[in-house]
Amino acid sequence: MLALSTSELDRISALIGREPTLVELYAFDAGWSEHCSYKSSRAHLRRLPTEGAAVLLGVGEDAGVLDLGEVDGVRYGVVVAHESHNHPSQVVPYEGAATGIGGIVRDVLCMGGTLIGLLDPLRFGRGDLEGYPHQRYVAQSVVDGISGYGNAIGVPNLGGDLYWDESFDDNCLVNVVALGLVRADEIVHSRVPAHADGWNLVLVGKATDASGFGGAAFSSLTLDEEQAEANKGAVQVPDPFLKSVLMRATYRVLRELRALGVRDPGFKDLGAGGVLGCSAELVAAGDMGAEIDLDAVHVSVEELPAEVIATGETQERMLWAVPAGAATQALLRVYNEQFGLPHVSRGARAAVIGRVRADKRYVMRRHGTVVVDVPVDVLTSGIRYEREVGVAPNHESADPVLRGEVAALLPRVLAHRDVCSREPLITHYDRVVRGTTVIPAGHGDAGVIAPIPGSALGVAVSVDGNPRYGKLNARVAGELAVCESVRNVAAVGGEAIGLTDCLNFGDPTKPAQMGELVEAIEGIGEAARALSLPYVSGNVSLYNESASGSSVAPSPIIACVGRVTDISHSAGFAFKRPDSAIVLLGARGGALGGSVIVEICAGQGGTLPRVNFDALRGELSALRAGFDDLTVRGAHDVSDGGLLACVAEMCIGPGGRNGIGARLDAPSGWAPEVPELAAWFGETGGFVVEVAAESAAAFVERARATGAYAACIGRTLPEPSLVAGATTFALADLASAWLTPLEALYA
Amino acid sequence: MKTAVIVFPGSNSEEETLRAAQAAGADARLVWWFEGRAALKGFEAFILPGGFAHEDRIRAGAVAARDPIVSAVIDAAQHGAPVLGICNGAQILVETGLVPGTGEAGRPQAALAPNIQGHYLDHFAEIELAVSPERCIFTRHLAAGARIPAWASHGEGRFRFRDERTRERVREERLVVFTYVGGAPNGAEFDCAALTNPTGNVLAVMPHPERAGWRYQQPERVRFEARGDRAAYLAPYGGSHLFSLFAQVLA
Repeated sequence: MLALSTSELDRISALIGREPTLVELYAFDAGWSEHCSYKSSRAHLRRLPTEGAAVLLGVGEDAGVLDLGEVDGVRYGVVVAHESHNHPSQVVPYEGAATGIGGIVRDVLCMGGTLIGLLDPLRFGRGDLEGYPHQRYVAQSVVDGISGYGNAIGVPNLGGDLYWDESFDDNCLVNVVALGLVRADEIVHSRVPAHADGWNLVLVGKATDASGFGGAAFSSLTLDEEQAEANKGAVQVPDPFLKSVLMRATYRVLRELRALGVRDPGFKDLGAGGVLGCSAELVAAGDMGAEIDLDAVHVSVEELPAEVIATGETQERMLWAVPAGAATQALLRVYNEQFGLPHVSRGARAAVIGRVRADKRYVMRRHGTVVVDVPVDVLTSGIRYEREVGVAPNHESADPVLRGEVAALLPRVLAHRDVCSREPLITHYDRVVRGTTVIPAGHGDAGVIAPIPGSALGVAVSVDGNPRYGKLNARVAGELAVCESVRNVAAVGGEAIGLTDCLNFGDPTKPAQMGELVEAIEGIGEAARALSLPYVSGNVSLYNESASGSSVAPSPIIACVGRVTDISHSAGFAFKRPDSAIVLLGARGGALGGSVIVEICAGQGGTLPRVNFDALRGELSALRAGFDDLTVRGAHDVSDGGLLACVAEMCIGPGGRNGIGARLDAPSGWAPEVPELAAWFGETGGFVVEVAAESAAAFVERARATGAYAACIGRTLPEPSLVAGATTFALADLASAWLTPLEALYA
Repeated sequence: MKTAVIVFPGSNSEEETLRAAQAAGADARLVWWFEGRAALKGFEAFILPGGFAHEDRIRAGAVAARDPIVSAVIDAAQHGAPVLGICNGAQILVETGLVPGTGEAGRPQAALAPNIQGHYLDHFAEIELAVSPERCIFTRHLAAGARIPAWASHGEGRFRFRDERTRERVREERLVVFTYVGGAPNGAEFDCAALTNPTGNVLAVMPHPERAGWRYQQPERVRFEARGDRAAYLAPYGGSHLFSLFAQVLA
């Protein structure tokens, strides 16, 4: 099954001056897929900011690297990768989600990084799963797949988020973010160096089989129920056990190569396009060519067709370019003899499958016959489309007037599927393996780890994107996703240093949907520029549309990585002490579009909150100063469910038994311009900050001096109740509303 | 006494377990499965770390228990060597029959069954000394009823015993050294969190003390007490106690 169009077939013939061979056809099929070539999006992605002081390695390789800082004279980088595995997860949820982790782990590994964390933003079909057995199966199996793979390889889960919407009924979104740690002087590149002529290309990992054949092209097709069965063959088979051993063997190979003085090996993950796609990109990136002998590729079944060995996307494989002689010998020894890959997984090993050549031709042989012979750049340059960019629909409308009683609404808001505790889901994931976790997923707005033993230098990370906003206005949703991820990192005491994006959209051949993609790119670019943050990696996932023509909610999903200078200053969101001051940073607004409260009270309608970046920068710097001098005891960003849900969560705490209450003044005192229910439940961004009472006045004053809105709106209480103006809640009731909704699915 | 932290194919907690042992003063190093049984010569104490050794095929720990490198640990344990198994390491020790050690050698008398929830569980858990401190060589210096913080992170943590006779011996010989405070989250018999053998030199503990072994890993409230104190955050704390007790045995 080829996905290439007839006109694309003609272009290939014109490009190489003859009819392509079958292997070449499959190579172009993968290489020119949307998944690999970004043929619709590349021109637009250029407008994203990608440079900055904290960038050690920018966009363009398997993953980007951000500057974490120096410890004992050694500079460390955080490797960041962000991918989607949406289509496979919809068709075969367990394997799709698991291989999503498998693939991104290799991206980090190939930069020379040690894996230090994973995050999983998930978007599933409608919240009420009664009568939707497949959607329920997807929502459960995806989590099982992530847990089955991530736990086994021993990489802690640091966060993620979860939204439910019927636009994901036929197309779940399963994104994954992976972080690695690498010394700045030991970054490995996804390219061969200039002196690599004659170097060996060594394929390591699982024996190639027929699984994952046509995967890249499949990922770029619209899902059709009737083809789902046929598409299953395009999904790879996960093997976390092999990966666990491969990771450890690779760490050792990296050390041995350095000991041998090989400073610049090429190392690249086999993803889309298999052996051919990976080897062509690895050598082309260094202006070289390659010669590959398909007979040398280790296979699990004899007599696989050449095109399957060449382009099949069997999991758990990577490609090295290393000098012949000692380096190649070391590599083969570590993988095959020491770590014994052949004993770990049948047929797995490291094998020399070809060599680098200087003349920039790409030649592949099977049984002595040439099956590919083209200039390497025709394989890697891809194609571009000037898609027609239509007007992105704006579904914002006048903000509705909300009616209801706070007493009845807060429990409903807390129990909403997009607000409630994710603990029943997160407990499936290992959050603390590696022994580096400071703030586990679910305990703070961002996860925090101290990845360098003996050092207080930490990494904070969060991933965000609200599809309810995406449905209204893709551009503003993009801005808000960036702001929320940055706020989340700030709320644990981190300083944002860089971003990644995964853009999940519908069919780019439809002008309106292409328009949404372009608008979202504008939005995430504008917010990043306003906050002086670079993008160091990203991913685009298109055709997230079912055959019936319904597209997913436009979903720009943003991960923010932050530096925590001293982990002993960081804090989770739960209230720490009674009698603290509760300070609101960020003015309340009347915009209610996409909020949970509108869904509960009015069904729909509303505008999205616009970000005042000057004020946001002020909030961030005030919070930062408060973490530095320890006057801030904890913070929580105002997002899904609004301010009152935010404060309730701080009272309840991640496990439900924090038991510190709060008394909040009526909003007429601190948000007189805004209707009461909008003040309590509106989702205009901001922070609720717990500040030592004696420092509160100074904190508020300092925040105001930055141009931010700041007000003391209440205090924490020793007794387990939440008093919101005239309404009093027992924390036990709020805790049960918040903690239990996901239990039915995940307990 | 030299301590070996043994790495199996599929182990995933070896680094932090080694760090915790070293921080407690143990002279420890990693020994990889491919170094073979001979590499354990000269080691007098052993730690089996967490993970998914040999992919947990058949049952968690079942294949690793028959790994040639483990035969050396079994021999040493039978001669009184201190052996600590954590999580998957505990599962392996149970599969060797070393704990509860009430049957013939090599025949498992217990197993770690899937959690009653049917899935993996990851959460903070405190464990409590449930026997007199002399019962096990690792707990000799603990106060009666002492509590140690840990993280339970496992899919198969439910201690079950072969038959009523075994259960009776486990009870009579006081082999359940630690129980979970507040009851076993996974449905383990006797609320068992850690099991020893009749001679008290082998300890199989399911929750991970090395994941609550430094101040920075503690629950928010405990962390907060030392807020801003960088050295305190990075210092061993809580679960590290178990490693100190281990190191004291070796001294």
